[in-house]
Amino acid sequence: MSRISFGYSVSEGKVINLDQQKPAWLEKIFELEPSLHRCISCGNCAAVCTAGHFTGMKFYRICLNAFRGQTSDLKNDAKACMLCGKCQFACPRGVNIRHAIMLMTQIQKP
Amino acid sequence: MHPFTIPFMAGFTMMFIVLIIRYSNWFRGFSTENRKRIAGRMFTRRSIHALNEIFRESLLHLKIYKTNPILGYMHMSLAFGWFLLIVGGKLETWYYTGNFANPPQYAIFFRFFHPVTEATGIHRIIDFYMEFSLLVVLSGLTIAMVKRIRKQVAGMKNTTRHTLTNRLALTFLWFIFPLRLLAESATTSIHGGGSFLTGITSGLPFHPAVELPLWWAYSISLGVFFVCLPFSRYLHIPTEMITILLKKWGVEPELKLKTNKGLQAFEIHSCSGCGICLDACPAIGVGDKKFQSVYFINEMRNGKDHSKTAELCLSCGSCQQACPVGIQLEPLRISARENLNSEMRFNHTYLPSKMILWRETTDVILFTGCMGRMNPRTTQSMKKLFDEAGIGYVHADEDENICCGRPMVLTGASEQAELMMSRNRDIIHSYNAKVLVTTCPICYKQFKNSYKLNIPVVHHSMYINQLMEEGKLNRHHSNLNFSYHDPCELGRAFDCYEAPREVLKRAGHVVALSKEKEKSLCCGNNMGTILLERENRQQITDKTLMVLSENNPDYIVTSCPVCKNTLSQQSSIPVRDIAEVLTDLPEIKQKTGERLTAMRESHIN
Amino acid sequence: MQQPTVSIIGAGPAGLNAAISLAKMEIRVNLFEKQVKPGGQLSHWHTLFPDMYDAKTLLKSTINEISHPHIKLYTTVNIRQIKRQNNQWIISSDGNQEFISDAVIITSGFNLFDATKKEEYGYGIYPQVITSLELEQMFNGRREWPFSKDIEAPKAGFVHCVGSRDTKCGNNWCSKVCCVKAVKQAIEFKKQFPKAEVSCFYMDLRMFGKGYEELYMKAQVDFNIQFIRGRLSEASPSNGNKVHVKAEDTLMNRPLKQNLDMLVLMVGMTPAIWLNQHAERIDFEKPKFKQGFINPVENYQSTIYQNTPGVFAAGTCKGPASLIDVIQDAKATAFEVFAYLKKEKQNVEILEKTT
Repeated sequence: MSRISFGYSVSEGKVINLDQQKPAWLEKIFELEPSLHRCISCGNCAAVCTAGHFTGMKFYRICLNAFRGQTSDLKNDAKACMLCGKCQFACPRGVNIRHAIMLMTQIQKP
Repeated sequence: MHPFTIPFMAGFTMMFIVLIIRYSNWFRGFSTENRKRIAGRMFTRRSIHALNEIFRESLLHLKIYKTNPILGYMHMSLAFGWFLLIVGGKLETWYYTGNFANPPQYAIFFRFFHPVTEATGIHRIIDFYMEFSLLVVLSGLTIAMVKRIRKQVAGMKNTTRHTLTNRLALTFLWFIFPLRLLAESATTSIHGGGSFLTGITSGLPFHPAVELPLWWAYSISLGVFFVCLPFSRYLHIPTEMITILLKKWGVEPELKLKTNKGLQAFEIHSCSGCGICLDACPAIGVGDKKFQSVYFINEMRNGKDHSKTAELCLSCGSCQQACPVGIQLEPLRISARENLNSEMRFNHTYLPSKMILWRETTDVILFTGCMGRMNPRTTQSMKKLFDEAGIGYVHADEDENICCGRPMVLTGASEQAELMMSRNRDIIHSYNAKVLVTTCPICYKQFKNSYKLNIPVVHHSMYINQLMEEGKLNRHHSNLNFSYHDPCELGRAFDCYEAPREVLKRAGHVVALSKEKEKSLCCGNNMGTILLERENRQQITDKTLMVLSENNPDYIVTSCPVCKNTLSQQSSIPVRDIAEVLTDLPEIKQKTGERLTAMRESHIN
Repeated sequence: MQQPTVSIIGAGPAGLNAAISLAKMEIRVNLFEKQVKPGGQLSHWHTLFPDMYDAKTLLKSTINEISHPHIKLYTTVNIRQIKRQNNQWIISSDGNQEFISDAVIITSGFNLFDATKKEEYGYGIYPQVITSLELEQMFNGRREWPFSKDIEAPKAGFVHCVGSRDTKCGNNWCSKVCCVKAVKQAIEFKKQFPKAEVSCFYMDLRMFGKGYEELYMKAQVDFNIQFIRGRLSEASPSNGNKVHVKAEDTLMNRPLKQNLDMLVLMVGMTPAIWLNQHAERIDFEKPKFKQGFINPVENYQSTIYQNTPGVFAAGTCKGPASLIDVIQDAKATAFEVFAYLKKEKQNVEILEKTT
């Protein structure tokens, strides 16, 4: 028996679907910069970030999105970075943020 | 001519042809500007200077000798000894035949063709000279052999490993001179003649039948070595000389790095693989991947993946400083990064442009940079010093700062730093000031080399020194001991070693360190590295602190916010910026009634 | 055989409690303390979490108990080294005094993280920035408040994880107690200044102990304390004797700023000593960067220090712990020591009988 639709459901686009396969290039980024896995979203990177103050780009958000396979804005957000390294200096977990950003700006989507 | 000379002649000719082909390929890669430079400067004094340098560095290897006398002697005896043999051989054949234009094999195998020489004055001198030169070469060879087995003998902690062609070339190089000695000894033992060296060795029981085979073996060794040369690291011998000439003619690196194009091709192939850069590198022994310059150049030369060796490096400049050939290693690495990261695209158009309505007039613009935000104490001290000296200042990046662009340049994306630079330039030009003072050597380097500002830029250690020389700032000599850490971007980059030390000497005593000034180690957090992990950086910091803690100083002092912040995390001795030292001195604290930081009522034991 | 003697190095809560328990079991104790008075870190505290128990009362009653005929207290003695001799340990101090004992308990405790290393927070630069320890001293009146007495509604901020969970300063561990301590201090501050505005800047709130979660809820409901999940970027001076803090509110996904009258840094725990083991002796050294707490032989036999018979460790020298855990650990260690001495005594007696 098929389910009856009442017309009330969460729109598919808003749900984080962890069943979805992560794109290969994303796995590649994690492979090239494994320290990304260390991020705990403490927000220190965003707190010190100049580019973030102007554009709203936040590295811990980029990281979270990458963890959850939400990749649509990744490249665009990373582009605002000035590579100044304050975030990397402040990060309590020692994530190699500059390299991660450099990889993200080079994403070639199929 | 005798058939045993054929292997040598064939090898030599082949080498000659290959070299011509390779070099002309590299030459073809020169830009028109570089070609003009070469054409215009070839017949000027620059060439004479170059010849002088070739003599000093390619033959005598004085730079290696200065860093490591045993290693220097080894290179010198091999290169200069061989050179003496070649020159001597030429003169010898000229003297005996009266004809200057003899074929080369005639000189090289001269003893075979002229075994008996008259035992009169000049002949004795020639013989002695030739055998002495051979002895010099053989002594260097002995060191080289021992060094291969036990590197410590040559005073080296680290040495390089070789590829197959290199080993082949090396083996036959080792054979050449002992075989020459044996062949000459055999000839002497059979026909007489010779000087002090063959005088001893000819005593060995040589059967007349071994003479010719020995000369054959000598010739084959030479032949094989020459065939291998253009494909081995010994290509550095001829290439190094050309590189020196090119540099003296002012040839500049081509914009896009290619390993078979232009100056970079010559530089890459000038590396002798001597391994001096290994001992100079502060990151030696750190991490799993060896990324020192000699490995980097090797990978580039052999067309291997060099992404790791290019991007792990801290760009501290120690290897470049130590390199006996003078290869511009830092620009090479940055060019390599440019190739590796060519897809990288940034967009900084969000940076607001500053509208200049009226320009505020002040003495000094203070720029503390990104890392200055992590070091508010330095900024505070600098402002106190300005006030004390009666200097008016504006803190340009007090509220928000735009990166100077240098970190981006270091990743190989120098063009993409332009917008940041232009915004910063606008901010700086929006004031009517006499000088720009920055507390960050990274910013200083970028401002100085790439900004084209309308006012001079100085680093704060230089500025403080200037204020002290002018008598605007005064400190009494205290009994405090300082050990000074030279930041890479200030020391090696600008040879700025004395200004900060002069400042410290006025306030106390500067202790000498085992590694300082151009040899100072990197703090471990240089922005130059892209890949190095924090744990590895911290290992480097530990090593640096070991040096800085020698003689147990009262303070470790530096003049870079990155160095200070990095060192202070791991140091048990307080780490201060040079500006902080001046405001933290007991005499100042007493005057202002502040409590001493070191004596701050504390729970830390 | 003589009555056995146990040396305890450090007269903080762990050392005191271990000494009391051993004395109760008729064992003689030499108790060494580097400072002038016993009490360790407890003597700086005003009240204790989670029940706001008065620290002075607890300390007083504990110290009263150590005036026991079996306990000998040596203050201002700094122990440098312990050396093994047959079945005994020789304890030597900086002043070249030597003490012989049958077992040793190391209760050297912890140091607080040096907040000047986190220069961006402005400790030692701006007077409004203080450590959690200094705040306790303000509570019990031993230190002046960093803001003017006229301010009726001071604004205070608490920064969690200063020198904890931070690979940059080499302290990768969680100091465990700072989360609840900040909550306790925030409540206490609100009690003194009911109109105050208090915010806590945290990475994660770890309310692991009994009554902690309840205290956290109390702070939210009864005292309106704001909890902001985010790290501070920097503190800078602002006009009117305040500090201006910038942070990222990670849950709101927005930057946040505030002018504060007082910024409290919840400094973490760092090891006070590092043990360097040689063949027959153990040296007490200052820990270097990234050297952690004393490692027990394994986590389930946590009182024995490595494979060294007769050397025990108790309290925070083994890693961050709350006061309650420390007291329990000290008492358990005392029992382990008792059992060890009894076994040793039997061995000696058997040895004496056979020879």
